[in-house]
Order: sequence, then C-alpha cells, then structure tokens
Amino acid sequence: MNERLTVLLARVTAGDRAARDALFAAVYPELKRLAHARLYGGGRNTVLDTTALVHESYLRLVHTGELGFDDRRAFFGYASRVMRSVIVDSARARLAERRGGAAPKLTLPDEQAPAALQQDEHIVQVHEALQQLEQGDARAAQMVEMRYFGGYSDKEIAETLDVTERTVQRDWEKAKMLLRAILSVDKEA
Amino acid sequence: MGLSTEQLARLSGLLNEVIDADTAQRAQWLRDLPPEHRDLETALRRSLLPDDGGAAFDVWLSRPLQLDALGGSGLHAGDSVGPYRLLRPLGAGGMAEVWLAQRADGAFKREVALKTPSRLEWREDLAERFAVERDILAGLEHPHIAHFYDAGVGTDGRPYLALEYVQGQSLLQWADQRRLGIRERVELFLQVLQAVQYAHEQGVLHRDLKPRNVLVTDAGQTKLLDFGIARLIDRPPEADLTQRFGRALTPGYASPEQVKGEAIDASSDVYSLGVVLYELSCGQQPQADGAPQAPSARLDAAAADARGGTVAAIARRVQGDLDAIALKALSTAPTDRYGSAGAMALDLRRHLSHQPVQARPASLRSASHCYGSCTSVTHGSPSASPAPGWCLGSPSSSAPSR
Repeated sequence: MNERLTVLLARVTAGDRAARDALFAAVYPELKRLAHARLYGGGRNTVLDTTALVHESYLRLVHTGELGFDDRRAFFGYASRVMRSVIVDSARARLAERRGGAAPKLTLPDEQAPAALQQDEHIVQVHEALQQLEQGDARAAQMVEMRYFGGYSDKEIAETLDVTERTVQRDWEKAKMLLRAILSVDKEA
Repeated sequence: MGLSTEQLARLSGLLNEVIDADTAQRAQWLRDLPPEHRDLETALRRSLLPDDGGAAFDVWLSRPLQLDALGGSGLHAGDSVGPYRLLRPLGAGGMAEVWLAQRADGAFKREVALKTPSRLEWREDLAERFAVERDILAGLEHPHIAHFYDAGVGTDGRPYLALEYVQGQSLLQWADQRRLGIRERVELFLQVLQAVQYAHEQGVLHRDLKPRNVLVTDAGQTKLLDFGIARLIDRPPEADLTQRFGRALTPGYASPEQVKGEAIDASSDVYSLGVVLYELSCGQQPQADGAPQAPSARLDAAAADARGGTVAAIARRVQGDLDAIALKALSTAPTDRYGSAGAMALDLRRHLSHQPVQARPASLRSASHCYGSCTSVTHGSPSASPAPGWCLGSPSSSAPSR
C-alpha cells in the first residue's frame, strides 16, 4: 500500500502548487462518490452531513493505505475545500437543469422544488462571495469554507488550524461580517 | 460593482478594531472613521450594525445543506418504528436520529430513546445480527451504563435500537458549566472507567467512547451511552472494501488500530479513554499529528478558568501524574497503554491518594515539581504495563471486527 496522499499532503503543506492540483484530483471523486451514495443510495434522508462525509473519506483512505493515521489534521484542513467544490458543482448542475432542460416538464409534481432551487442558489451565492473574500482575507474565507461547506464544528476547526476555539469563534464572527458586506453590496449593485 | 480586493483587505483590518465592541461603541467608532476609509462606510455599517442584529443572516448561513427537496429522514412524531411510536425528536448524530418513543402496543409504559439510522444502507442479515447482539448488550447491567432494551427491524426494513432515555448533559459540558476542578473531573471520569471495565469483563467493547457518549445526570451520575453499538452497525466483513467500512467510530477518539481497520481489543477503548481524560484535563483533544503534547502544556485561559484556576495553577495540577497517565493511555502501540480500564482507574486512584503512579517511572517521580518539559520525558518511556488479569471471553463481541 502506498501512502500516495500522505506524500501529496506533505507537498501541499510545503506550498507545492502541482501537488495541490493532484491532491484535489485524487480526493474530489472520493468525496463526490460518497456524497452521492449518501444522497441517492440511502433514499430517505437528504440532509447532507458533510463532516460525516469527510470523516468517512478519511477513514476509508487510511483503510486503503493511501493516508496515514497522522494525516488527519492536514486532510481535514484540505477536505473542506474539496467538499465545497463537490457541493457547488452539483448545485450548479441542478440549477442549469432546472432552468434549461427542465423547461418542457411543466407538470413536474414536485411541490417542494422552489425550496430546493432557493437552496441551490444560496449555495452558489455563498461560493461566489467566498471567491471575493479569498482575495481580501484568506483566513476568514477558510473559516466560512470549513463551517458552511465542511460543516465542521468549532472544535474541529480549532483542531485543524491548531488555534483555540475562542479564536475560531472570533474569526467566524468576523468572517460573517465580511460576508454580509460583500453580499449586501452585491444585492444593491 | 462589489468591493475591490484592496477594499476587502482594508475592511478586514478595520473590523479587527471593533469586533469586540458593543453596538453603541461601534456606532461611535463609525462616526469617527478617518476620511481615508470613508469609502468603506456603507460596507462597515452593514457589517457592524445590521438592521436585525444579524439574526436573519445567521439563519440564512446556518441552514443545513439539503441536496434534495424531500427534507428530513421522513420520520415524524406519531410514526411507528417496529413496536414503538415516536413521541418527539431528541437529536440527530452523524449516522442516526434519536427519538423519544414509547411502546405502541402498551407492553411497557417506559419511554425509550429510539435510535434509527439516517442514511446507512442496511443489510439483509441485519435482523439476524441484531438478534445475536441484542442478548449480549441487553445483558449489560451497570449503574453507569445506559440500559440497552431492544433492537430490531421494522416491517418497512428500518432498523431500530431502543435504549434507556437518560436526561443529562454531556461530560465536558457538565464539567465546564460547573467549573469542576481537576480532582472532581477525575472522580467523574472514574465512574466512566468503572462502567467500561465492567463491560470489558462481560466481553463487550464500547468502540466509540467520546465525551458525547457520556451523559451526566443532575445527580452527578455518569451514564455511558451506546455500548457495543458501534459493532452492531459496522458493515459486514464479506462486503467489498468500500462497502465494508462503517463509520461507527469517531476520528479523534478512535485508536490508530481502529482507524486502520485492524483487529482491536480492550486497549483500543483505553486509547479513547485517554483522549477523554486529556480533554477533561485541558479542554482540547490531542493534536491530530505526531506524538501528543502533554495536556498541561495545552491549557489556555478559558480552559483553566473552567477548571477553577489560572493557567499556571491548573498546569501545575495536571503536569506530572495526569500528563503521564493520559499519555500512557494514548500510546500508539496498544501494548504500551494500560492493559485495561481497571488498570487506568487504579493509577488515577493512586494519583488522587498521592501514591506513586505506574505511568511514571520511579526515577522521575521525585521531580514532581518541575515545570512543563519534564512531563514529555515520561511519554514513550518503557513503563511496566499492568498485566491484564482477564481476557475478553465472548467470541461474539470481542472478536475483531473484520
């Protein structure tokens, strides 16, 4: 068993851009597969427990020998970014489907569809605001990524970033303020 | 036309100045904003003084992600699961929902905590497997273990577990809210060890020990939840690798061998207990990479305050024995840990009664007043592991999970 991802994680931590792309390419399908298995395989439950997905993929990758037990922190730090892509991509795909291809299916009996549409738009909105925020305050952006897309608790974030929970709470307050400024400016523009 | 990158960076820096201020102070600060930052005034106002105090935005941002339109697990109050009728939801964890429920057929009046999976794919052999394990788990009777009543599969194929409904707070919350000192925390933890030792003697491993699985009642009695349930819901060994891996364990608390999917025994639970003791001592989990630092070195002001002292005072209290005991339980090699929960309890009792503890070699004990770094010396040193005077007997619950 090679610890392929361990090596990639180490290189990403050292600032290697090519490794970052390779790691993304390796982890994305894994998280996507899990997300789909949960959403469509389980049938009835639809709340996306993203932290559980990250936990599960970590466990599975350690199990297959691609990750080491000690890589948890680095992996968690990285996985929320991948989770975000998985979520945003599928939200965009659904939006496109509903807006474009779904037009003839006017008889769609799904009375709850508007709520789902709203949710998908919401996801894309946060994602786009986050892209702006990344330029101005990368740390705040990471906080939103971990909380909103990764679903991590304060404790998990504190552990992943090696800061105290208090710092996490403070950073989260600030990140929300910045996000609020970005989103309300966008609305008026 | 949104904010430019430069403006955002400046906004972020300015927010640091007033993030801890109250509304009145923020308003004043805005009025005093220097001219060079006037272009950010509107953005700052929206950030700092939202019309509704930010409540709507918080809700908007905290909505759980739901990737299709059906919503929820599909269960409602009043629904039946097996012979139980659901009364109200108690909570939802990573893999299961918990409902307060009552027997629908009136066989028992008591209320139970009914656990049913939110989304695991369940298997055909589940009913059979449940029947075997049910008897073992129902046989666990201990004042500090929440009773396991029943497990089964409803007519619609939905599996359920019926457990004692315990009203209480999770271990860390309980201790922090009451600002329990270190001695009181250790005493509380000893109740947990007693329960684990008892179950191990019956051949049952817990497999998912964490503070959230320990509730403390108003009377200060701990109740360990979900004993052996992790095994019940692990996936079967014959399935393919991707299917096999159950998530019935929690990274951060699970032992290295458990995470790797290797055979586990009582010492795996001892590792998880080490994490719990570590967290009780300093408020943080051991770092996720490398050898853990001593808990006494990881205290911050808030954690110390929740333990009723200053950082220096609590660190002095934890360093030495408690550092050594926690780190011994957290050893990577199972054989370096305590051989049983009982052995760990014995060492903690020795500590409480000011006797030498096994986790610290004799040569270091005299140095009990040294500060900080000396504790790391004890970690990893070969210490005499107490011989386990018992072994896990039941083939059903002690066999490795794969």
